[in-house]
Amino acid sequence: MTRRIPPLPISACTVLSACGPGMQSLLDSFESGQTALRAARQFDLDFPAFTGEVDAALIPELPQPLRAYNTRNARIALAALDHPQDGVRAAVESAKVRYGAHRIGVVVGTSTSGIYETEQAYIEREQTGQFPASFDFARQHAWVATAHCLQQALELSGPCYAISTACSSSSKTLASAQRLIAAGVCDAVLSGGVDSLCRMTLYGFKSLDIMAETACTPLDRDRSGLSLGEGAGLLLLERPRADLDDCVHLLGCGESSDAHHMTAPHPDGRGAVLAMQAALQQAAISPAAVDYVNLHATGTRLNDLAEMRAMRRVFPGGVACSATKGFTGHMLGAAGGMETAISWLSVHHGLRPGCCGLQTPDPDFNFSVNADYEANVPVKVAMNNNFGFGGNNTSLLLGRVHV
Amino acid sequence: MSDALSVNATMGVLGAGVCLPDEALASALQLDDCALDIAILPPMVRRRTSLATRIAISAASRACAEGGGDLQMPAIFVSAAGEMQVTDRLCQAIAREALPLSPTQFHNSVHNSASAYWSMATGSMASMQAMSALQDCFAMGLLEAACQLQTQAGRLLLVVYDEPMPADLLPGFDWQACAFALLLGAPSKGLPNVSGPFVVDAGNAGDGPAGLSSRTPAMAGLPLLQALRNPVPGRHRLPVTTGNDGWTIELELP
Repeated sequence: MTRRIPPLPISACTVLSACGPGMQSLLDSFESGQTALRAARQFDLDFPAFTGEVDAALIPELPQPLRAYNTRNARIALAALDHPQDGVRAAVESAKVRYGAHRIGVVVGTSTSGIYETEQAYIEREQTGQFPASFDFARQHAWVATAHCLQQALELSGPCYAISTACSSSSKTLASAQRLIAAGVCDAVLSGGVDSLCRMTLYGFKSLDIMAETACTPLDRDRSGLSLGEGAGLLLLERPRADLDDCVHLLGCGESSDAHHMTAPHPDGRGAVLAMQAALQQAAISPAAVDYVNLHATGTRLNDLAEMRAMRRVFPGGVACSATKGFTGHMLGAAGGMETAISWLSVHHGLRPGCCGLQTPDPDFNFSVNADYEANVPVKVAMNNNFGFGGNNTSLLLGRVHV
Repeated sequence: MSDALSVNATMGVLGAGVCLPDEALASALQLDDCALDIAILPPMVRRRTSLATRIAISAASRACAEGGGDLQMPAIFVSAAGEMQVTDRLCQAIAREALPLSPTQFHNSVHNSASAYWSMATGSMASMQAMSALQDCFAMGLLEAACQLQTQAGRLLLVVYDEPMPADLLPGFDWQACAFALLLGAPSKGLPNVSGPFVVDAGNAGDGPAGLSSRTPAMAGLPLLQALRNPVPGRHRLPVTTGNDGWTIELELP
């Protein structure tokens, strides 16, 4: 028997990226249309690249008892959690009082975890023959380190795990969170993702020859690759409750695989089509009811083309859609958290971000995209797509339950 | 003390497979049919993939062969550190400025490598999950499996695997290559049925790696695998973690 999955309220959400801390930073970026990407500063690279580095103040080191978790990834996660206006920590505390610490799960996506610190440790070992005393593999590098750090910072005791499926990691956390609540295991789940820039991803994407030399321009005819970013997108998903009825809800999740290639998408976006259709089916929503799609659109030639072919299949009548990685850079394991938060903003405020950096939409798409920011538009349902290495695809639907 | 944490679900075990490439270890654990079996991978991929991916795919192939049926189903791959050997090589290259990095090593370093190669080898376009929870990999994988089967009827594959850690990363830890896979579906009278996972005192479940044990996390599956290989009818309570946080399952053998 398959249980019908009810829409679940997102009671709080926040972001931290090169655009700045908090949801307001995204509103400001969308309004100004300005990219936050700059020539790489944190690393002295031997090739030209633009990156979306988090400039917001992070605490220099973690307080006890979290000190051993001290990584840039964990500091980004805690800065996001503690953003005062967005209030994710307060929402978790309130859920904890209502439901109990053991009824709240933590499922965090990441593609980097604390590998930046591991690289530093390897560099130090190269010079001294030893890893630094502060290096703690289990609490810094392990995939679950940031999830454990958040769980302990919040003194929670429910299920806690990491998801790492490259660029779809953190949208998959929303699907897991939804199931943990629908199956009755949890009453609330802190989900989303955190990623931090490191040499591994910068040199890795360079080795694949898919990095732009300047700020990425997804969907543009002349796009030349992606720009990497870092940051966090955290969302608290809760079980349905009358006083949360006005919140933006998670309506449906779709997950699929391309079964095609380790780094290249299926040319027709076969898996992407399946993920979008699965999300629509779970939410029992027709494609015509979708008011905005936040595309995965990384800015590489193949990815954007495959996704737009998939869009033509799923939305034969067209749909308002845009790419936001021109603002933030590609946040990899945090992209799903960030872009689900953008879809939340779209529904919450009735807006559609434009495509930062887009000059000439690629005519090969044969599909219209929203180049410019639109405010005060009715958005009842928004879709968020994320597609990762290994052909790992997710599509999420957010919307209102009472319209 | 906190309240108990559990999932109210029972799953039938349609097939199980293990891969322990160290024959002495397999024999000490009284488990046979544990060798590498990556016939499902194309020859080119066989040479390029890591030990982690090869043992995961060996166990997955074996569980599916035992259970039979269509391979088009969701799969959940869980590993504490995933592709750590290739990550180690990339970190060494970075530290020695031996650049550019190898593109193959880079894309094989992602945590969802094993699940991606499985999906490509089987042609499965279903959802592929890649998770991690250190010593609770098996417990959290079972929880994810139970939640998936509660919300989407059918069958799924759960694969838990770890390869040995590179030297110095976890001093005092001697992880051994170990993978096991379970083909799970609806419970049925004639099948081994697994309920849970449960933890009696959830207060212990949130201690992160504080109680990290030096045992290979994937070895948390061996009590279940041994019980399935030498079935004693009745109900059995089995641990599903290498940590000290108390995650267990109830296994009912026909």
